[in-house]
Amino acid sequence: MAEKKEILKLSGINKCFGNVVVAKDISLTVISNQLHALIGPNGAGKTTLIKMISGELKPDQGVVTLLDRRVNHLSEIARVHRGCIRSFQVSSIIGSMTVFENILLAVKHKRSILKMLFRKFQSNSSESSFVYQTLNQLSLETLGTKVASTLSHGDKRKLELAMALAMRPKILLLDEPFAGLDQAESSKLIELLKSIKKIMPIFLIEHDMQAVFALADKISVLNEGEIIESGSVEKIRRSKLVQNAYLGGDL
Amino acid sequence: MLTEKKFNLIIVLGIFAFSLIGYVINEPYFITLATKIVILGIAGCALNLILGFGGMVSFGHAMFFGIGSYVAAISAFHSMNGETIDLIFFDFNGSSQMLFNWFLAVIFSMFFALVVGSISIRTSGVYFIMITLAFAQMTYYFSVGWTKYGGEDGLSTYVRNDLFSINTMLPLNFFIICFACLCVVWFILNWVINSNFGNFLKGCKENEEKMRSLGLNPYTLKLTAFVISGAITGLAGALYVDLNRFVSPTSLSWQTSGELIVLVILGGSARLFGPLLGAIVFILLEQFLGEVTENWQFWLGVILVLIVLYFPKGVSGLIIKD
Ligand SMILES: Nc1ncnc2c1ncn2[C@@H]1O[C@H](COP(=O)(O)OP(=O)(O)OP(=O)(O)O)[C@@H](O)[C@H]1O
Ligand SMILES: [Mg+2]
Repeated sequence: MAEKKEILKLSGINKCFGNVVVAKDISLTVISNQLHALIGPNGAGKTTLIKMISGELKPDQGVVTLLDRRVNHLSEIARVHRGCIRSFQVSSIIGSMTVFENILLAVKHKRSILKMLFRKFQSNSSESSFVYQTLNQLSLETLGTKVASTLSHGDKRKLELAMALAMRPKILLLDEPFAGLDQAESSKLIELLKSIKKIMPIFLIEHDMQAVFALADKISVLNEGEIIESGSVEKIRRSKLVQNAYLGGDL
Repeated sequence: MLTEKKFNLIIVLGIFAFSLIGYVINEPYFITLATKIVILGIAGCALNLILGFGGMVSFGHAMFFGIGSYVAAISAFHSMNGETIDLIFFDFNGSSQMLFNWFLAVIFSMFFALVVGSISIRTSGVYFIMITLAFAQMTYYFSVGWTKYGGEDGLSTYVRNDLFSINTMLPLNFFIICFACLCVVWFILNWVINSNFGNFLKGCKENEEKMRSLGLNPYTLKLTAFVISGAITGLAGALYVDLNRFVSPTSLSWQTSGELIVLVILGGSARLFGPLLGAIVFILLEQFLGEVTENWQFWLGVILVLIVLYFPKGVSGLIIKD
């Protein structure tokens, strides 16, 4: 068993939009080789929390620590280059490009504009095998030459995830990757995430409770910006508080 | 239906052939038209880099065109009348060398593009359109008030600048010079859009938030594209001065900005060299509609409306297969 390392740590995060509180004193940690799931009703503030981790939004108060370094002052882009990679709740693939090119974007990202200007947007053999390896993981390999906007909803979700994976994350933040997948696709994705979490820690926002219970090492429950419960799958399943607030008492 | 490569080749060779025909049948006006097409085409393609590929609708690109024009004209003007410009560190005597004046035009328009872009690119959509327009209007009114260089009446340079020992006053020679510039610009723009940079720029047009999540800064990407575009537009402006041996504030006016956008819409923004076809259509319409009716601009408007409604990919979209 590899040593447990805190990859991501939030402490005392507060955030308001006007007078709506979307994060109230949130503290949590994501540990290596763990999948930490965040569940909560619509509008609880889950996506906002991912944005504060990724750096798109700044918290009003509190500290975000990534790989043992306080990153509050770092821009979103700097955090990406440190390996903090997110996927979006709404698939945000580049519709006019092919599936292959979408992944290639993730492979080709560089900091320097000049380097990008002087290199052709073409994959060498190792890049293209890496792209296909990534597509393979999500069983998208036959769709490489398809224009992304013509994909089915489920395939778009998978491409969204594939782009994040192709960034070689040190920590992966996923915003409802299961939304809109059918049963078969969901089970496949569960298996995939099971294997991925051995390599990189995952912070997963998800409504699909079957997936969460199958995957999570730890679950936190967010309600109106507040973490009302946190712990193992068993603990969350049994929690009265959670059942009332979120699960509707029928689990 | 043609592939994009064949389309580009046919357009470019067509323009060349047109001017050769003008030479053979001794109709220099044809050559002038072809030259005008080439120059406006260069500016239109440069605008298309940011408009079609970067999603930035600049309604102030005449600014870079006009700045290129004025810089080249002022340099030529001083070289002619022998009056020096005191630049604190040294006296500038102007120059009658095309290459040098192009260089100056490109440097100045790049600099202005950097300044204007760094402010404008913080906005998007309608605000971007308005802010670029506002900057361009500022340069327009400045030129109107700059009586030292002709103010409203504009500035004449009488002769064309020199390039090596070519007789630039011969229409065909000057056409070939502009044509060579077009080829260089073609190479540069083609390179840019096929580079990693160009593809991330396309990505920015669709989804900036996503590009940020891939570790790229849309602001610097877009600003770089804006500066490249401004520089090339400035070059077109400098060529235009040599064509007409005259520059006036009109080159900085919003009508000129609008015309550049018209080239892009006519030709089609989806293809980098669509605006070159746009320039052909525009100049020919101006020419032939203009002969038939005084109100050719009215009919141009009708055509534009039809294109926007029925052929949003422009004329090039009708010819190139996907
Ligand atoms: N930029 C913003 N400005 C103001 N209010 C916002 C902003 N973004 C989100 N909100 C509000 O903050 C609250 C939390 O939004 P958030 O998107 O984080 O919820 P969520 O938990 O992800 O919900 P869902 O399950 O629907 O995705 C919502 O009430 C939302 O309307
Ligand atoms: Mg959300």
